[in-house]
Amino acid sequence: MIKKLLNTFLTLLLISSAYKVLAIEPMHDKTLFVNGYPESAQVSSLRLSFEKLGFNDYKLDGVNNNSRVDFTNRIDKLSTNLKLNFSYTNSPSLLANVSHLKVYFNDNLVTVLPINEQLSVVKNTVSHSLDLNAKYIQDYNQIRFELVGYYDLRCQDYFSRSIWTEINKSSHITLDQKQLAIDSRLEYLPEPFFDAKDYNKLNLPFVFASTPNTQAIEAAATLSSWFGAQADWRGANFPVVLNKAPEQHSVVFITNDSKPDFLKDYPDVEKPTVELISSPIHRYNKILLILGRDEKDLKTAVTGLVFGHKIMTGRSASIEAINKLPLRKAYDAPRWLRNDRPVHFDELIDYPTQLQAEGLNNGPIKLNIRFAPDLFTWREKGIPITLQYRNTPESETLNSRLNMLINQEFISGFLLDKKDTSLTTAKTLLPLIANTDTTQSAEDFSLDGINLASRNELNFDFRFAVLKKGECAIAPPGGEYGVIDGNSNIDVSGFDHYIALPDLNVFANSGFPFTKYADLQQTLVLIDEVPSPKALSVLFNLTGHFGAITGYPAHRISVAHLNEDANLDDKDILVIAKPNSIANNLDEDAQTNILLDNNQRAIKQAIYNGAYDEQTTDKVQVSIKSSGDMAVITGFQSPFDSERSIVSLSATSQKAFTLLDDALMSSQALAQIKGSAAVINSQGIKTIKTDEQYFVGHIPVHTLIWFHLSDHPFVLALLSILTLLLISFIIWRLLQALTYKRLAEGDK
Amino acid sequence: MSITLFYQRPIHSTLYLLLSILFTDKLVRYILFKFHSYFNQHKVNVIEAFLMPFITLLSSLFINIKKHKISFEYTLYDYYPHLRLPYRTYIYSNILRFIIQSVFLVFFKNQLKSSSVKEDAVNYFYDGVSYLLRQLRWFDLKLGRLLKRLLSKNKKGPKKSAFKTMADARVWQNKLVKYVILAFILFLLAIFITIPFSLEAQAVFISFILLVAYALKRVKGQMATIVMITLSVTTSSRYLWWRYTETLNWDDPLALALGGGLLLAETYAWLVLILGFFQTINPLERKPVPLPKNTDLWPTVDVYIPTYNEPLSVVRPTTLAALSIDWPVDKLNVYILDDGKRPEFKEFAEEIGVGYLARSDNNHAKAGNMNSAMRYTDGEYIAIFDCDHVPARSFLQMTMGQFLKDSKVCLVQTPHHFFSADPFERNLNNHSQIPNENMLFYGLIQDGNDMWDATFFCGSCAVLKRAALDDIGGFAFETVTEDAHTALRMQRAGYKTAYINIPQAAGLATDSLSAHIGQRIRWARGMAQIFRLDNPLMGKGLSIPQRLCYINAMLHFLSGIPRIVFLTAPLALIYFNAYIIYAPFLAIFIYVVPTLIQIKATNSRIQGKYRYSFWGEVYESVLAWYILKPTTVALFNPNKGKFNVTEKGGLNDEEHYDWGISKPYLILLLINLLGILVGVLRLFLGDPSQIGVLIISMGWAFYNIIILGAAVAVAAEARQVRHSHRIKANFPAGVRLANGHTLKVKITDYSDNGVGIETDHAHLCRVNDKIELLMSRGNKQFSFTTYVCNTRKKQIGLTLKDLSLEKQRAFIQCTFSRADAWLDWQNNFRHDRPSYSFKEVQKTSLRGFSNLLFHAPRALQPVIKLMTNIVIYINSFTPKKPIVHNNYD
Repeated sequence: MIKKLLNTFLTLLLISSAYKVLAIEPMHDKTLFVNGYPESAQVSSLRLSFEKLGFNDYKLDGVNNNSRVDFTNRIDKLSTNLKLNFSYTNSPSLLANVSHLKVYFNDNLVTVLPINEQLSVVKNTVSHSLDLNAKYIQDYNQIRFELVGYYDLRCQDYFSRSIWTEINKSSHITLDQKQLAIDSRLEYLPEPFFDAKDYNKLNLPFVFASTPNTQAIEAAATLSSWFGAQADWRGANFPVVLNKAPEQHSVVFITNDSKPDFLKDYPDVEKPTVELISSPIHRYNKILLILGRDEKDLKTAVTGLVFGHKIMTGRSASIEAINKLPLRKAYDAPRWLRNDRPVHFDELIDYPTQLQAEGLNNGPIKLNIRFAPDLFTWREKGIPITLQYRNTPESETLNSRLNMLINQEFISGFLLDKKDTSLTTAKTLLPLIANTDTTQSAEDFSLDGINLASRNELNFDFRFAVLKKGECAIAPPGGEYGVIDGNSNIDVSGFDHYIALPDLNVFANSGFPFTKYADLQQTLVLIDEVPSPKALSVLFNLTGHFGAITGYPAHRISVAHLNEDANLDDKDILVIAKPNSIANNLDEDAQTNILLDNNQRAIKQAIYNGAYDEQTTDKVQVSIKSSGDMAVITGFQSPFDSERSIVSLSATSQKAFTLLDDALMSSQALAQIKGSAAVINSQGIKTIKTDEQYFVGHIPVHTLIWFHLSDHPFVLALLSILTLLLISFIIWRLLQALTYKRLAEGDK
Repeated sequence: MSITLFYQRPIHSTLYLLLSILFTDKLVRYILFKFHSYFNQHKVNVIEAFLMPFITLLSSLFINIKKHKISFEYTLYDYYPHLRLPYRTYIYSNILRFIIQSVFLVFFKNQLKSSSVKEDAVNYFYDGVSYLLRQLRWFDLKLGRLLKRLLSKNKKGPKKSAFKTMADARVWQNKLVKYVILAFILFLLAIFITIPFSLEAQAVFISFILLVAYALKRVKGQMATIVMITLSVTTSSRYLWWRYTETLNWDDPLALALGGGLLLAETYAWLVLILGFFQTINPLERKPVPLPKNTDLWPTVDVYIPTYNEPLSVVRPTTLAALSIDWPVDKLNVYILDDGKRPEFKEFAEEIGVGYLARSDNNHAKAGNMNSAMRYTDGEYIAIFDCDHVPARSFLQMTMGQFLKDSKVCLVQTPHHFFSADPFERNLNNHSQIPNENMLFYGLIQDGNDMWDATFFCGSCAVLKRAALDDIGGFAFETVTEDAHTALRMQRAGYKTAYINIPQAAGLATDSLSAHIGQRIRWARGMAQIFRLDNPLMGKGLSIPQRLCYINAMLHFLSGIPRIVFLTAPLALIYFNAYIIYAPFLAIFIYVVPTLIQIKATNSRIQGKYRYSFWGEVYESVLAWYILKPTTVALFNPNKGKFNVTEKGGLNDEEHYDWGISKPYLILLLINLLGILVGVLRLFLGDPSQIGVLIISMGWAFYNIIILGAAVAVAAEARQVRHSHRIKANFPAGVRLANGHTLKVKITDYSDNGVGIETDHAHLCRVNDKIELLMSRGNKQFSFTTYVCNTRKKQIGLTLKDLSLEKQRAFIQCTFSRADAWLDWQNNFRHDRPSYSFKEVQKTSLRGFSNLLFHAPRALQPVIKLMTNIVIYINSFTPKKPIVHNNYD
């Protein structure tokens, strides 16, 4: 008895003490933290190699004598102990007394390093370890090397190949970063959760008290797509955590009814609210609280956050009302090239001087362009570009050129032969990949044009020529400028939207067909009744990816459970679930190529690639029993609406979900996802092609007829001959009748 | 000589031994003999004379010389005919000739069964090709038969009733059904025309259609013709669609301008093609309507013979023939409308008792003349003959029935037939071998027009209704082609026209090319004027088919610019490197060639009896330059230009070359020839990627050169010696000789003052004998006093001298105005065969070139001689057919 009592008591004690630890009440008096938190902040030591920092110009020479390495500093980090470790090798022909290497840190001359004449054997490089003053560290930092190199004092050609110094690739920066306690102010948003100065992938855990219901998932998906849009090319990962405080910045979704244990006593809210607090467990970390009376409020709160964060200040903000939120139109995603009119380059730039190139060895002007992936490019020669450019006039006729490249493939070049700085206008075409048959992989074609399915980089490379006169050429004059005028435009307004599906490549790289509407208004996500955190994470990562593609939060995404009676018509459906649940729900009509039921698997594969023969329905069918982790992405026509598509992502286990997640997060893997089905296992991705195509989109009737009939000359020839025979017969009969009539004309 | 030395005094004994084995005494004697004979007798140079025996010997290893027991030399020259004189003395070039000819003999089958070795591979290839051809022919035959069966089944037989029940079904009365079907068919057609294909697909599509069209060629009947027309319409429209949508280079202004010009010309050609198909799809072949027995019901007819400056000798037969037309005398009045106001005409008119009308002014030329005549005459109908058109006596019998049957008919037109050769025929010397320029119009187009009630008045050989003319205020005089304009007006007023495709009059063709061109210029100008002043597309009263027929007639005369464009288009690429058809070589090839072949085949089928393939282009090319200016001027200023009378009945005393007329063609020819030269240079020195298009352009330019050559050939005027044109004939007559014998003879030709006869026996009479010629007209017999002017075996030429008016009239009645005089005019010609026709054009073209060289200015003669020699020299290298001896004795 006593023992029993004791046990009970001990249990109670343990529980209450646990409560004491977890449920920390918010402190009202925060003056205590003026000088930081009592516990010391986390300190991490970083070693950033030049390579990782995107350093390219390892070689310095007489003309290109500057080389920069940039690194950034997050808002919530304090850097100390900045050290520059580098080594370089210099040309043996440089003169010691006059040649030297300057090192600048944020335009402060840090040191001047002599060129050692005694260096006779160039095997040994000169290694240096420089302490840089951490006080100079800013948000964006730059270390610059400048070579002053002479090989001859009287007569020097700056283009001489003997002037060079090469910085070693093993050069790196080391620094210590200490986490800063930053104020809980909403005006920082999206910092500190996402910092544009951080070039790493965004990693932001979403915390729920328990498995969220569909509305909470919708709210979280919206938020993830917003963060995904912010993170853009960096990528974003949103691990899902249930009832646990993560040791980093995170987002916590709380309703009055469901609160995680570590915020058990957090006060209820009356309205959808967004709050920024320090983590009660790891106080240097911030928590973005999405609060609401119920899950519906969470959605409102997130919507309010993504559209209203610019006017949110202080620690807390409650969303009074979302008065108006118009529907996005198809294909109007901010990051996609609009197709209602020609788009000026001005609209595509990220920063003001992006369209300007300076100096002899300028980098190319880069423009990132995303097209709607279903642009109908059949029989089009390319996408028209009207290019206008100006450049520094040249006194001599030199072969200075402007080259245009897309995805590092040369398209066309123009001679800069203007004697003045007036605008030159050139019209050109962006060639398209001659790939209308999406079931065939891109390897089957020479990749000599733009790929509609993914982001394209358009480069304009000004190459200024220099005239050398005599043996001692003067230093190049400098001040070579080339400008692509912002009024240059690219025009996709004449193109229709029509695409053959299934095509997982378009799905993986463009989120099509879901991203057709940037707010995902016509997307329905089907998930298990009780989705695993991993599955949820896959969903949020995917919506984050969509956000990065469109640049717009997916606030109209709808989520439903698989066995729920949802309206499946007129929706593009994304299924993320365990395999057997998909099999139970959709199998009957769907033309899936892979069936997956844990260990029971069946594969259905076309004998021929592409739409070889639509009449032949024979397919290889194999049933396998096999265990092990496997994830499958399949795309097929929606059995509920012929204009709609279903993409299903399923995985046999939690580990397989991780595989799936990883595949969707890596750009290399995304490029490999193709065809109608992709099988992902621990060793990589295998694609399965289909011959069952369906088309979505709209083109004018005549184009539709042309497009689908132009592959059947025999049928058409036969048909035309039959038709003409018929017509001839009719004409013949008609003429006979007319002849008779004509000859019978008369008074009687 | 050296051989003998060599033989007699050997240098080395072993060599001597060896030689003595190889060269027996007999052999050496043979060689020496041969050498002597070559060197001394045949005047061959030393080296060849020395080598010849060896070559002969060597050849004998392969060719059994002894087989036919004839001398080897003859056999050699049979196989190598061009090694004979005059080239036998050129040893080095002969070696090349020998090699070329040997290769030719080895690789090609020749009639002389050459024993030369044929390789198996060659045999296989040959067999393969011929097998393939056989298969193709077999397939073609089967397909043709199948189509024939299918089509003829539709024509008649048991299916007809089923068809009739279907045709009579009430469904067809429903307008909606009709329109839906029409819309559906149009929709399908639109797809066939507009669907863009890859090159392979287009090749498949067009070859399929071409195959069917080719098979249809052998199927007789109108149904097959219509199928060919619809196929042609589809493919040509498809071609044009392709040209408009895919072959314009918007980035190159020069190419765009030139290519746009070509495209417009092609559009014109397409339009004319389609309209032409429409016009000629169903020639009506109207039969004359019999007149009522009671001649009281026959209306009164005035015959107008307008003249201005023609000699009386031309007008006389016409008037006499007009008087002899079978019609009640009290209802037929003949009038000479003399705008020349010549007293001898008045005298002549009074003498034979016809009306003579002259007026004080000459306003509005022919139209004015006839309008003024209408004021003084009162016949219900007016028949009009140009003063050189001699009417047959049956003219009114054939035509008047139409008027009596249908009171809305205002015009019955008959064809113009010319018994003399027109300048084309005369200069090309192909009279009655190749249908002349007129035949297409009168044989087919007018008949086709009649189907659509769009036959128009051609100024002569027609009967008009006076009431209709009064309705529109007389003959139209605003334009220089009063005839077409008058018809157009009457049709606007609601009258109908008819065409009887039976020649009922014949006349003289224009004498010289310049006159011929002058006449065409007038027509072209007139048509352009009508186009501007009274456009048949606009205005009231015409049905759509009528409008289309009229517009095609007008368009035809605007062909000047397009023709010039076609003649120069390929040069754009050769000279300026302008891609006028902006497409890859293969695409051009696949689109252009089959389409052209198909159109040619279809046209050949439709027009075969009336116009041979490629000749239309020759005719058009000759006229193109000259009608270009007047039509353009008339289009912009329709009131400019006056009527000029076509000169006829003149002579070309001497054979001369009309440099003036052929100048534009010489220039076109020259730039095309230069283009070929430049093209050849570019082929070797230029960009290899352009070889395909260059070859196409050069091929086109070469074709143009052939056409232009034929056009130039026309310009060399042939002599026209005979004053009166001899007309070929074949009808029986009799002669009474001076000794009183009466013989049956056959009249082979006649003119207005002479007759050629053929007798059964030779040498009946001598020159200047007086012979009675007995001819009959219906039941009446006439005799004419004639004199023999020449005899040649059975052929006798007779001259008529000092005939009285009565006799003249009788003679005309017995000859020119016989009812069957011109009936066989269309039946002399075979149906067109395009390949044969093209060969003819080629031959003519070659004649044109040789004419050109022959007539070239003296200063150029040495150059031409040199060039000719070079050509002959080069030609001497080409392989020749071995000579075949039928009997070896």
